[in-house]
Amino acid sequence: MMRIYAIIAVMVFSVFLSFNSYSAPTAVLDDENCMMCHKYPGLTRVNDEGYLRLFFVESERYDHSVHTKVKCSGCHTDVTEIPHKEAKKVDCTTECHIKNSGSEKPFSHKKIQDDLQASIHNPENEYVRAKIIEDFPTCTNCHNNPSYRFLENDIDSVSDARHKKRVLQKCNVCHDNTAEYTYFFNHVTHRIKDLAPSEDVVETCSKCHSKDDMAKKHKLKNAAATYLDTFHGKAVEFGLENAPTCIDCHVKTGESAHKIMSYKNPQSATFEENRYLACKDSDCHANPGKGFGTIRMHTVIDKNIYPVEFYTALGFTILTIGAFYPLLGLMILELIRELFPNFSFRRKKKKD
Amino acid sequence: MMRKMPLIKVKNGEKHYLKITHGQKRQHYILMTTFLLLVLTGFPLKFHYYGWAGSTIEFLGGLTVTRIIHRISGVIMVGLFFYHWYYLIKNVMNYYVTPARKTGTYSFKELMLFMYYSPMCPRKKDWDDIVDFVKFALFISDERPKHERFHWREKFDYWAVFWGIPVLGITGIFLWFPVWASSFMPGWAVNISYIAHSDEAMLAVSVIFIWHMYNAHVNYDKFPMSPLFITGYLPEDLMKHEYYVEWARINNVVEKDPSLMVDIDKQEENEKLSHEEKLKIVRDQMSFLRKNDRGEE
Repeated sequence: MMRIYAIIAVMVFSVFLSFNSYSAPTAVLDDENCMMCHKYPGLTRVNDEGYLRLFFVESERYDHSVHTKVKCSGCHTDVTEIPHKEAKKVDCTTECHIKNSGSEKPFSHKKIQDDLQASIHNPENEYVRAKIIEDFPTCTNCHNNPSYRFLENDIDSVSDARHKKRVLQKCNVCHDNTAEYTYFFNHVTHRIKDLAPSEDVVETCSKCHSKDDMAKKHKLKNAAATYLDTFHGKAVEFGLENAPTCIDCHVKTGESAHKIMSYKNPQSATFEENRYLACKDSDCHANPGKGFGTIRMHTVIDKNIYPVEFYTALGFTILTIGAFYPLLGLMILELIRELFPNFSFRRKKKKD
Repeated sequence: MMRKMPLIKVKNGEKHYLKITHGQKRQHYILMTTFLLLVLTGFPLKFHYYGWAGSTIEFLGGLTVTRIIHRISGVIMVGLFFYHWYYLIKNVMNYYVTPARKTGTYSFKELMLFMYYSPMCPRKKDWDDIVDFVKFALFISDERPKHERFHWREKFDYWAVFWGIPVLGITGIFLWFPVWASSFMPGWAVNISYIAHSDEAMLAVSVIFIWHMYNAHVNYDKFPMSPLFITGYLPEDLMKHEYYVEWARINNVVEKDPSLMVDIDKQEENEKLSHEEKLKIVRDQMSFLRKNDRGEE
């Protein structure tokens, strides 16, 4: 029965999209004939920097990606002829011919770009400590033309209402929230598999935030390592469902993940007085107070940053060494004595 | 205590001396079991970056199950801790306070002496034993220290628990209920609890798995395992070797009251049936069944 519902949902979703897409409702069209060359796996070139560039486009994979309805020239706007010269890097804010769901406006990621510019991930942000442009992420650092997560043979029952809420919140970042749109997405997401697994989110953030050298340059902590050392990180690591990820704390409920702000910014989800709100919205901790937000999630044993934690760890280290090693020494002494039971340093008195 | 368990048992021609009672054995079983479960469920989290951590969690049924086991074990261990305090107080009352008051001979000084000379109380003799041990271990002396019922190593293990369980219990509660803890404490107190809980567990494991296991199951002729925690008794050679004073004390008590020694060999010998008795039992049974078949009353 679940499978039937899912199939119906997919059909409805497809019909919905077909009315809003420029291309035909069937398989991806290649009326620009780009696949004439790019269908070959061996299509590669070594660029001027010495890196191998792969120009192969896997049709089946692309057909199931989120950009399946977009023509090649929709993003590669500088390609106007075949054969073409080296194409420029794709500008993700380009408007394409796909119509925005629920409206007739052309779709664009410009809003996302604006959010990113306003976030801490912009080198020009006032809270950035080291303005090293190459260290800051662009669209393709996190996104790689992901596939739709729902597959016909991959049906799972998603009963947690939180998932639906998260799905719609993410959709609303780009698409206008109209009654019609909400109806279709509610209908479709009822059958959609989980959002990005927690591990994937952590993995994406860890691409940069697990690098010690980068953290040092920007005067930050190794956020990925310190996160994995928390119960949150371990829950993700050991596959606990709905374990909190980076986004759950660093992004306010309902906001885009691209709007992560500095913890010093009063508007930030991680601003000291706002932290408990993220926990409040979760299903994990019931009614947390403001004090709950003062628990540190990225603790490092550093005397200058967290002296209390540092001296606590130092105290227990001394206690462990001070208690265990003397006992170990006594144990070794006794073992040696047992091996030589008749030996003695005392001189035996000579018999008269 | 002495009425329930004999101080000396003779079995297979060898004397076995009482060291721990049934109640103490049961407490040890609970402590041992909960300790092992807590280590099994807690250390994969502490060392989450090792491959065996994930395998262990998966074997136990996933993180959800693991943390439930951890918490239940922790609650039981803390419960045992409080029960043990009750056990100690009960013993003080039963063996001194109540009898002394009933007989009108109670005195606070004697109560202090009673507690001072109780088996687990650290005393000056323990320091003397340590000195004697060091001399012996360094080949200065040929005489081993003559220990009492519980020597200084066992007392160290015993009292270490009184430090470890409160630390682990309190920090464990703070980590279990962080919302409650942060409602009356600063947030960094929860962070400190995290560090303390983890590091204290590491210390406990080091002491128990190496120091305690060596002393209890490896030292001298105990390997591969001492029967003490199973039977409560130790053979005479072990008693003389490690607990000479206790061996002498028990012998002295039994000499005055021979009923505190049970000769299991004699009991088994007395219970053996002679050939004639066996035949009589069998023949009586056959005769009864034969009469029953014939319908005779």
